Amino acid sequence: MAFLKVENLSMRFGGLAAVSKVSFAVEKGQIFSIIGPNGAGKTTVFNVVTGIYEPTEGDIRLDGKVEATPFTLLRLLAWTAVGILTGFVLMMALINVDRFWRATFSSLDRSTITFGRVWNNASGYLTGRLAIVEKGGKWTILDPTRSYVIQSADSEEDANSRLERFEKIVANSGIATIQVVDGEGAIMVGDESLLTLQNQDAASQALEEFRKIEVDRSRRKTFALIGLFGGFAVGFLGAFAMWRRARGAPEVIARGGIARTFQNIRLFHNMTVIENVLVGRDRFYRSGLIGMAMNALGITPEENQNLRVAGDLLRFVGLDAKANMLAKNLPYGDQRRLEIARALATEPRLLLLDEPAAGMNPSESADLMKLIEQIRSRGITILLIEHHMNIVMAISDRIVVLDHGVKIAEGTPEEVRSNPAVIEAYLGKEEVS
Amino acid sequence: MRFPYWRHLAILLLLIYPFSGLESVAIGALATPIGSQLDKLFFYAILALGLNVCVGYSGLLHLGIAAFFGIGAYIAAILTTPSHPFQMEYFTAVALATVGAAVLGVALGAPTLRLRGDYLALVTLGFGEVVKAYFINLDNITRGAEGLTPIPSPDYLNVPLNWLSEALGQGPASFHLHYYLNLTFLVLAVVVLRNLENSRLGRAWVALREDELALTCMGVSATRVKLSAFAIGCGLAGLAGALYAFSIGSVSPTPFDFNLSAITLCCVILGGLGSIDGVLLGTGLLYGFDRIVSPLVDSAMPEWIKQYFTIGNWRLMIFGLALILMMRFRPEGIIPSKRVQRELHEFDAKGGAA
Repeated sequence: MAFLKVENLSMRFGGLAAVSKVSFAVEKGQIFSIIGPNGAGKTTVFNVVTGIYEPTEGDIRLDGKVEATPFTLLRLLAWTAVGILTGFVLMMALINVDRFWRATFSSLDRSTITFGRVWNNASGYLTGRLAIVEKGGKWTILDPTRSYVIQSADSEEDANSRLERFEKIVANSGIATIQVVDGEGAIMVGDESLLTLQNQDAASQALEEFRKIEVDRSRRKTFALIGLFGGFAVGFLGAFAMWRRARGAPEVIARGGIARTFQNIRLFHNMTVIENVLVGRDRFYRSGLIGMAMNALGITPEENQNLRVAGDLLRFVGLDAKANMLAKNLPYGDQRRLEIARALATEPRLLLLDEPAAGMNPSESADLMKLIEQIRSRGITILLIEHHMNIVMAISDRIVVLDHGVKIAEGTPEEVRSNPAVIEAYLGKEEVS
Repeated sequence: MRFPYWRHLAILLLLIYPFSGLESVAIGALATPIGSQLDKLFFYAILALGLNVCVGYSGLLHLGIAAFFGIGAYIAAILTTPSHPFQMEYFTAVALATVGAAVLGVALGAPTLRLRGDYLALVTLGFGEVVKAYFINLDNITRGAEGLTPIPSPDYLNVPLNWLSEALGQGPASFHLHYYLNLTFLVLAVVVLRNLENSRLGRAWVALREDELALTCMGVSATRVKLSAFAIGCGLAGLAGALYAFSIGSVSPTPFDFNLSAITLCCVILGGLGSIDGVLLGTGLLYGFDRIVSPLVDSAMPEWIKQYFTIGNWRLMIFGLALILMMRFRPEGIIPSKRVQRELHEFDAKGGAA
């Protein structure tokens, strides 16, 4: 079975097809080259293979497997947590967090604050319950937002019975009526007189207040529910979408064992050479945030271990003498080699080299060729884009030729060299005059 | 590479400073001693170090750091002030303020992960303004424009820590308590950041600034790196805010505006982006000039000059001039960031370490 299998790969940007229906298979241990004129879609193939673009069509398998973050129960829990949090925040925003705070905390002080009381107050505000507050032997009945006193009572029983009647008025405020008995105004629900005040005006005013409480209560309940569930949906789906989008992200692919270099060198220019390689080692570190905060330099075995590996890699590409130089100060050829060392630091199974010999003179190219052979002998499969035909023909096991995003030829160097379609793509068609 | 000797020297000097006799030199008309300005310098330094994590290391241009300073201050104030029912002790309040600001930093960072440069700057700027509006308008929580006051003096297990000041023979009103507490937190922040700087996280921060795509192609999740930068940067700002609340003794919305963000950014840029020493020096210079030097010079100036010119009134002009000169002659800051030099040992290839 092929090690890297690219099948029917298409990549379109809007209407423009950069790559269409390209298939090829790389065997383990091969040096496999992709060549073609400029604009043939070679780098696009690399970008798709390393997850920078999501392919429009087709799939890419490394060792028979598509590299992607797996779905786990833990992820589901994390999305749920994000959803609940968003829901809570949105609910707070919709129910007026300031009044909520007053309803929850204003009646408490340090000696009376308990979780039960806080919960009671908070849920009372959300559901619009009237509240009883006891202070120094006096009971007062407050509106659900705890912003004004409805009535005072002398004993707890008295307060409770009044509260019960008021709740009844609020619940039935739509059908409650006012009756005048002996000049006093009474609020009636059905035949039951629930509250008597000094005259009719006062009673109708009070009923109006109760109606307001009822409207406020039902509105707040609706808002709280909309906030909670709407926020949950937004948070949950958002977290899911982020995961979905990042499933085949470059870091996931890199962790799966594919490393690459770039056509235009993309080193971390203001970091030293050794640090560039250490960034490549990142995925082998295990320490968490606390560990790192306690990590005085050079003390942890982990850091020393990776420093050692990085040093070996620099020695391998011949940069050990320049380990402490800034990457931007390296000569061009060394920058290319450092990029290769950085890619090797991730311990890839497949290495993608994008025009590693660009801008090199013949003797540098010869060195590079040797380096590529050495990398192969470490058991790493290599996928290469290159324009220097002497390099490509000398070291490739197999070559694919692309032109305008379409595969026009595939085979051993000899086969490709003599293929008329390839010659046409590079040199143009001979005109018959 | 290790803690440089001059940092030890600086810490030592700061430790003995309150007993040097210099601390009580009064400044200008306010007659506040220099020492009581220094403890404020410490939390501004922590704030600048926090901003340095976002802007200096990770290259995330964060213009709303004052909001997180304010959030830390308000959390600490709400958790301790007598008008709210919590009245926690000092260290719990400081820890919760730090964590709260860090969480909010992540909450701001998560939806803006794909923004870079100017766009991120705009979002953070807007966030800062929104938070300030909240401080003013949430009357029941923040007491609106009048603010939360008083914030009690630091205590531990309900024992006021004032005995420390008294034991030092300075009386309860002295600045010594806040001076030493803030200095401790500053040293702690510097040590932690120094360690992080040379850990894999610090390297990932700098790599993120240099080239995000290359970083992700190395198998590092840029999302995590960014969020951790936000969390740690904003968390430090929250810590600074909590120390501010305790040192000043009251919190109101006005100080947490864009000016503070801008001046903090100036401290970071003046000192050197991404360099701890630089940021400390930058804070020392800007705030030191603002709080200590300019009142001292002003009070020493003869009356007839004062009619036309005081440094206090011209200080923003002087800041601007200093920054322009800086950008012209030394754009990388006074102490530019330097990468750590490492030794490569000879091993493995030749069999074992040499």
